Amino acid sequence: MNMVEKGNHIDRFYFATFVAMLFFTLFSSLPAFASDSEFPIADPYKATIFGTPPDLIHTFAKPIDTEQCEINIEDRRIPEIFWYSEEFYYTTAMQEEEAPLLFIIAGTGSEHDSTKMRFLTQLFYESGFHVVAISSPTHMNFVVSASRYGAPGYAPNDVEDLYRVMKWIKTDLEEDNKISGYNVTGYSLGAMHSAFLAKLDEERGDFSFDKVLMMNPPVSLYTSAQRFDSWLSPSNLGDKKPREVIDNLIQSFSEMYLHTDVTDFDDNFLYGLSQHDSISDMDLRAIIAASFRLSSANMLFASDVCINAGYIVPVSRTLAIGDNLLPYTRVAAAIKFENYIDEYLLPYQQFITPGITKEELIRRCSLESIEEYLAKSNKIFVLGNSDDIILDEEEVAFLRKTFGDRAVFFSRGGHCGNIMFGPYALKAQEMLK
Amino acid sequence: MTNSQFKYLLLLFALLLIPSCATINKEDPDMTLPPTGFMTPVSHAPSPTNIMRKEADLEFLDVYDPWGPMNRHVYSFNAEFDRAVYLPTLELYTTVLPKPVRKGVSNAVNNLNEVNSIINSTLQGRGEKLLRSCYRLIINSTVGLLGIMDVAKDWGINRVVTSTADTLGVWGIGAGPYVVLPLFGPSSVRDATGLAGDSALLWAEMNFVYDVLGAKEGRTLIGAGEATIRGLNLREQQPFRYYQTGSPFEYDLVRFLYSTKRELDIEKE
Repeated sequence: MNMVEKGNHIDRFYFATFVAMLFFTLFSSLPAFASDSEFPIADPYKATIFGTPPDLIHTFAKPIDTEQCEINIEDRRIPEIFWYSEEFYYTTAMQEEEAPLLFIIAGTGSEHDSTKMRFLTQLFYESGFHVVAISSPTHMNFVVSASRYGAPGYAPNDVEDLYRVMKWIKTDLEEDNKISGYNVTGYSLGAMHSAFLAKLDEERGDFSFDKVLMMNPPVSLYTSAQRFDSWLSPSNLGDKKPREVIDNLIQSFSEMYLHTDVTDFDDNFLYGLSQHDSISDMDLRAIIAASFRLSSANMLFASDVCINAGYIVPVSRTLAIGDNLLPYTRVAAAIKFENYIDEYLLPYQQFITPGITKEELIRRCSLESIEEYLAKSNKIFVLGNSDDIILDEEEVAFLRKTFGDRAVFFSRGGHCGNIMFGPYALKAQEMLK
Repeated sequence: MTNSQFKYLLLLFALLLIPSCATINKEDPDMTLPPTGFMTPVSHAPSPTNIMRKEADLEFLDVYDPWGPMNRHVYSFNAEFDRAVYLPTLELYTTVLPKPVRKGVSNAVNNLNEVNSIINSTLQGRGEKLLRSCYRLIINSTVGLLGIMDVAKDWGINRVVTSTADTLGVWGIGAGPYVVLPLFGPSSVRDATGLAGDSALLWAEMNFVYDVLGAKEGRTLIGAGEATIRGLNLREQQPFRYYQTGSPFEYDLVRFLYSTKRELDIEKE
């Protein structure tokens, strides 16, 4: 300890320690903290709803500059009430030097700029990618501004839509940036889309993806959606009505707000709510299912208005900005995913491609339909949680079997609950290296 | 180069720094979403019977909104204004002024608003909030260098967020119809009245401050500048972006959240 003998060295030594400590507290992803790699929320439903506790969220050395960009398709018919979705929006974060580019596809009903997407954009920019963040084809902005058929949920069409906008963006970015290769990732439904995009690109060759990372993918869109629907049915709720579950939630929310020193409904508030006693008595599954139902109500209303199919809004009715939409919210929220398929998606798909059956439609929205390709394609990786609530045991087993050591599972995190958790985030970075 | 020319140049330079993306324009006849004539075999169009079904029970979203059509137009106008004017100006503001400076602005604005909190906490008979606001005003105006630093917060004395609208609520005045105010956004008849009260209070307070500072001339200009800064500061604190919920039913969701939060704000001791 020679260096601490002289006074000024002592100062410097302490100063260095102090700075080091500061760094440790600020950037909790450093090894000392990363070793504690178990996600703290053991209940997969809670993990799914509340996500990563604020103090365990992976932090970044410095904020990045992102740009919001847009695509405008000329002469596209945009319903008046959706004037704000006339353009297709996406986010880019470009490196100064030559770099590989990564497309990130959002999950069900999420947009390019959602909390998770902003996090992932920053995460992969940090590991050296040019990043392009794209909304899910199930998000209303995508449906209204850039979907060919205007009815999301049928994976082959959605993937064609994604592929098309990605090609446009690629051409645009290549003008001003040096791009050394292409990659694609996504979470939840976006993970499934990534796999289908990789498959499509093998045939078309526009991107020649180097790596594909699927974060928390569903195996079958249909079975996962059906599971959600069952959580809102009497088989799960018994005599309780979905309405009561929502009332309970609002109740807890209110109590919590009244009795704490907060004035905003921010992330910390949400985390506080997860700690609230009353939450454990609640039907967390019904809450998750209700949130999925809201996304699907958004999607099907937007779609119906765009293609004027008369499903929710009568064909003769043209909605205007001042119109009350609440009656449509009510009926849309009462429609199960199964009904959406039987009464809307399937008839429409049969109208476009006569002869397609329900079985075929469901099969083509499942990873099992491209199992062979996934099994032999060494560039595709899976990062998931074995307690993911959208997967049953068989589906987890399917992923393990198909991807072998290209699949990594954390034991906790539910569905995408741990995406922003240090160990998960770092693993995702590593898998896309 | 004169001083004003230099400033102009700086501003231009700042504008150039703001990242912006060119719009990709595409012409593709396949992508214009032409009418297909397709109709679903089943229709769930709202009717008196199907909106009463228990699966469609979203009663909690109901808020007294007799001026709905007008409100929905104003909501739409606000969104357009936000996108075309408010946010671009905010971007300029955040580019020109570094974060510590903006923090100072925000603290100073909050400090001036303590007077409002003191008056309204008194009118609501909430002693603890009154004391907190007084402490904060005294500490931050002195140790906090005229409110630029929020020293009180560092000492664990958190800001009281209240307004004339809360006072009216505490006095038992109901919210009345929901109103979307141009530029200000979601409100109610009671809250809009409160806002008018807050503005009058602020006007009196700022006149007093200007008197003390001895600013006799150009008060209109100073006032306009101050209002702009306040507006930008307010927008910066507010993470809400129109239509980011991705829901075509955003108006209804915002109306519900606003009304619920206001009820709770008033109830909250």
